[in-house]
Amino acid sequence: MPTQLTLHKTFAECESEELQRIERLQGQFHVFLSDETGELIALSSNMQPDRAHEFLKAVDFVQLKAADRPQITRVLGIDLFYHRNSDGLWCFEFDPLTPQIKPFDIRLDPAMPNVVRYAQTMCDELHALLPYDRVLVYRFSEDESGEVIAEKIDPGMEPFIGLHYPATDIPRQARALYAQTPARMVFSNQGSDVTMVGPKGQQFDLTHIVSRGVSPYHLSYLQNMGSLSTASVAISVDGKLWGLLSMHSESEVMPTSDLYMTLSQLKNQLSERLSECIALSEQGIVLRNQSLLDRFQQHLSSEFDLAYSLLLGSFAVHRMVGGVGAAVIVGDAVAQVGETPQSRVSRDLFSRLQSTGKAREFCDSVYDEPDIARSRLGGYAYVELSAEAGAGLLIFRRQVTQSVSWGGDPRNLAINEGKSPTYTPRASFERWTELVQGQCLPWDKRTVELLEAMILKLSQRFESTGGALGPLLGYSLQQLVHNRSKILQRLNDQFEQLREGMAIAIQTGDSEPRSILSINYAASIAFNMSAQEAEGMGIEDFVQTTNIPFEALENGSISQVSVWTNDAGHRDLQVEVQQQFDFQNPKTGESISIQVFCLTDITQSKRVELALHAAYRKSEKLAAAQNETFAKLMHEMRTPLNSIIGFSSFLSDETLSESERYDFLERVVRNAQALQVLLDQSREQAHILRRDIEAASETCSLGKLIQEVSDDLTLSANERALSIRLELPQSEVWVNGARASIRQIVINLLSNAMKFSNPGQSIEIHLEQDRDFAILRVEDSGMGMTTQQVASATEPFVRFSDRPGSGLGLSIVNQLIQANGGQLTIESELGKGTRVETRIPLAVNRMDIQKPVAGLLVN
Amino acid sequence: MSKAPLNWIVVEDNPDSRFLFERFIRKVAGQEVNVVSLSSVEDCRAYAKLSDEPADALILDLMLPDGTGRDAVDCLGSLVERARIMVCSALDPDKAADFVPDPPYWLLPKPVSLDAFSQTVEEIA
Repeated sequence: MPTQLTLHKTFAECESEELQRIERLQGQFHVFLSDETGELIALSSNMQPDRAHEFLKAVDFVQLKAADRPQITRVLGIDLFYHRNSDGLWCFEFDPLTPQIKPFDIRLDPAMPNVVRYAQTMCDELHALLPYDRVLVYRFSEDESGEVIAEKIDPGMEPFIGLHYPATDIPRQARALYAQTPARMVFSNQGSDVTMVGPKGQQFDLTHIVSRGVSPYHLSYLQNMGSLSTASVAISVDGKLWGLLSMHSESEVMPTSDLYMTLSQLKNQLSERLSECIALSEQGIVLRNQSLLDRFQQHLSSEFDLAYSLLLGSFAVHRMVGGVGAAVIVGDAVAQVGETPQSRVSRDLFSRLQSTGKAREFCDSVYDEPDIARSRLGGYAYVELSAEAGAGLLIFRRQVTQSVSWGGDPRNLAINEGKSPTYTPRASFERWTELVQGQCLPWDKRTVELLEAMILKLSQRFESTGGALGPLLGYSLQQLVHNRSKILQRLNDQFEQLREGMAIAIQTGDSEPRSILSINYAASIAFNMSAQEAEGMGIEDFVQTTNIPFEALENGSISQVSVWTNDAGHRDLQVEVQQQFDFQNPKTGESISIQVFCLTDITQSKRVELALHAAYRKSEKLAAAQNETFAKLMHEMRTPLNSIIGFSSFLSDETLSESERYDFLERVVRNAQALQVLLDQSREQAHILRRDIEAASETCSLGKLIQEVSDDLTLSANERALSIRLELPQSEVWVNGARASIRQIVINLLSNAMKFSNPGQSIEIHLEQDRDFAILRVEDSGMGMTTQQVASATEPFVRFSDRPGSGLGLSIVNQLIQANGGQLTIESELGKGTRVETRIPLAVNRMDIQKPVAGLLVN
Repeated sequence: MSKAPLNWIVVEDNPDSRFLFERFIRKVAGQEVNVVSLSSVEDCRAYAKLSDEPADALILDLMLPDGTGRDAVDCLGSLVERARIMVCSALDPDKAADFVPDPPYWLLPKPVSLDAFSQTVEEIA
């Protein structure tokens, strides 16, 4: 049997989902498969075989490229997508609504050396061009979790920017699929799936079909996210999946082949541009490192005191690489500056590292070093300075309490947490903040290279004076103790660093180009740049690095900016511009101004504000939906009321014959009963939500329930000369859900089948179960429905015939099924009958769900 | 009372309402009037092909299984060009605007009583 994808009970199942030989396709396209000779092998169930044959006769197979990704050929005036699958079959598909493919011409901006800024520009542009209300760029981390680094949304939507998502959100093989396919489109999470019809039991490789069906896991994800239609394009850098361009819409986006082609053409362009951005950014880092090293070397050339240079000077090595303290060990002597553990702890650590024989070690978590962790340090770098003299340098970094915002609690991976949990990527997308402690910011490649280069330059400078570095350092340390003024100077520097919040001083003037005077410690960490590196930097370079438009901000103004920071990812900042000093000398023409930019983090308050706005918008939508339902109910009530009032007004008419009077009375009663049914079912619908809550804790035997309902309705069926045939399994089939809800589902399905059957016909009820679901099919051979009618059959108050009813029956079934975590499928043909299949989760014992959470959880 | 219209068309998909309007017409306008009942836009289209008898009055439901009241009037074409139109709908008057034919017409919201019907027929006569 072809694979039937269902929601899973464990994440491992998601990871092993069948991706190639899928059975279902999204019904908005027509699909057919042929062999090399043009013989039709299979086609989608929404397509007539004659139509497929017509196409196959007209296809020029010699002209087709044997490509394994969709290409385009024009046949019978229609642009067909085609490719050759791994079975050697030709796969054709087309979008019946857009016979000619005309992709939009999207030209992305040239790359810039700031990936996040580029991604944001791209989101802004694509949001304006494409029919999606949310466009975001999602970047994968090394541990396969990810983060939204850029986003553009319609007004009133809740932003996802800055949110992290665990690796489990996009299972490994889904990532593999993204990497392979040019673009992935989900036309609607409500699904209008079709199946492939071909030789019995044969499965086909449909991996690269444009309209390939969507995994229930992914559908569940989208439904939880509130996204109805989506499109995603993988972004690859150096042949590796780097991230996704992901677009979402709360309303259905009509699928068009134009859109698919646009997105698939975008894929290469996008990957190229972002690769260029990353290369430019790395190039920029190399240049910045080089410039810093040049200045370091220049500083060293005028410095004769090794220990001072290493520990206290303005170019002290630990300050260059984001450290807060350093320890220099020479033999038994330990000299420490800044924030460090006790001398004993540093010496022990040094001895341990030295005994490993390694010359370098970089550590960004100290969970197993409690003595270091106690000092609020989160990691260290170790550099051996001299093996002979037993000299080494330890640089300590401060422990970072990181606040990581997740899109929903990543530990909560199950829905229906009653007796039948079902694995879901996200039961909630609400912001959930995790505090991570016990580690420092990672020692990135750039920092490591910089440290190595600085140590090398330090060695070259002082060894060139004739002595070996180890003994020289020992001597220098002793001298330093006697030279207290240098230590006091260092102390002053430290006071400067005590300030909280980011502050940046910029020198402006008419004659001089604007440049950075100084940045404080918080800004240095946020923008991954030491104060020394920033000093003297041109304003344009600084803007490029920080993504804050300093040039555009005026004295006294307060504005808000959204930036990417090294220590906390995305942040919303309030920038206040203060004028500190302004000097002008008209005689000499000299002028100088200094502006200080104070940056306050308002990320949390901004998020709360946006979340409230989004919640208000949701409540407005809900109220509009309720008003709509109420208006429909009023409309439906007026029709029977029309007959009740109308025929009643005749009853006092003495000219009526007895038979007429009886007929009119019968009509009044019949319409009053219809009104009663309508009111009962409306009340039933209103109670569905409450039943959902009950459903989580109840189970019932579906087989027994079907038998009971069937018995209850037998008399009514006999009156209409209908027969009901039951096929129930021998064993009990226990399902999850309130008995009243499940009974209502069975009653409504059976009543509908009876209502739309004709005398003499029979109704088949079949029950079976697979591993996860009870499958109940109710089939009649009555009046049936058209494809359009099937599409709206579950909407409230929709009726397609004169036969009595409220038009709520299937709507209620659908809502109850969804509330119980099940699925409803309707197949019907006008004049031939209807088959309704429901899949209701089986009641099973609760299974343990793994809790993959990145980082260390503090609360 | 002025002379009531003679030839009537009723376009209404609900069988009870259709029958009720026929009875209302006969009660108010007399037994000798001609009443043609149609239940869908498709019925209207078919009737327009078969008949050349213009109607004096049209009772029009707005929500039909295959279209709107406006579609029904379009299909009936010249048969209802001179007819006075009574729109009898369960829709809220605010919502009905999208489905009604071009004016003039008389709006009679459902439920319709015999008195209300009778009064409207007097107005259109």
